Amino acid sequence: MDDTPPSHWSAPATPYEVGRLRRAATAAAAERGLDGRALDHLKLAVSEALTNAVLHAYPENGPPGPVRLEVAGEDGAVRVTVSDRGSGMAVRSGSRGLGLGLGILASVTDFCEICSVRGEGMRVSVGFGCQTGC
Amino acid sequence: MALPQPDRFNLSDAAFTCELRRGDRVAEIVLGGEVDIAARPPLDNVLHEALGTDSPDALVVDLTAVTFADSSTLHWLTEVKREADAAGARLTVTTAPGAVRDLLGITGMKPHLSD
Repeated sequence: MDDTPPSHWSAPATPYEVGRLRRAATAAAAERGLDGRALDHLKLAVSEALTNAVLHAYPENGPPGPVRLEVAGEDGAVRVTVSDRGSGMAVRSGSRGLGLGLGILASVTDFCEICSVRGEGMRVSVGFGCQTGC
Repeated sequence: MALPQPDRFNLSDAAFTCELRRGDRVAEIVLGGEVDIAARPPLDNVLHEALGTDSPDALVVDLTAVTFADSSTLHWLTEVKREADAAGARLTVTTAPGAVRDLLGITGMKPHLSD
C-alpha cells in the first residue's frame, strides 16, 4: 500500500482518552498529507469510533478494556482503524448514546468497514481520499 | 508509541471550557474548545445549575467558540432541549460556521434544538 509505517496507539477505553487519541490520529493523518475538510471529517469519524468503543465495548460498571488506534497511508490517502476486544455489536436497551455515531461516521468517510465478532470485539476501519481500503 | 502532546499539531484545539452566565430571567451556557464524551459530567452539572431552583424564562447555549463536537455533544443538546421544555424555558442554540454547524447539518438536528 505504501512505504510509511502505520502509527498505532493503545489506551484504556475511557472518555478521557478519546480526545488524546483523536488528536493523535489527526496529527498522524496530517503528516500523511490529509488536510482541509477531509482532515476535519477524519477527526469526527475517529471520535465517533472511539466513543462507540467507550460506551459499548465493555461492561459499564467493570474496568475499561483496551482500545487500539492505527493510522496508515500516505499522499492524502489515509486509513484509520479503531478496534477493541469487547463484546461486539449487539442490541442494547437503555443505550447511552443517540445511535447517531456510526451513521455520522459513515456519512463523512469515503470508505467505511465495520467488523464485529461476538465476544471478541469490534473493528471500525475508515478511509479518506480512497474509495476502498486504501 | 507515545501519544503526541495535544497541542503539538493543532493549536486551535483549545481545552474544553464551560461558563454559566445569568441575566434577567435568562441563563446562558457558554462553551468553548473541544466538546466530546469527556465533557459530559460538567455539561450535566451546568445544565442542572442553569435550570435549577430559579428556573429562567430563556436558556441560551452558546456554541460559537466550540472547535470540535461529535454525537456526544448532540446527545447532551437533546437533553438540554428536553429539560428546558420541562422547565418552561425557551431554548436558543447559537453556532458559528465550523465544526458544530457542520455536524448539525450532517445530522439535520438544528431545527429540533431551538424553539
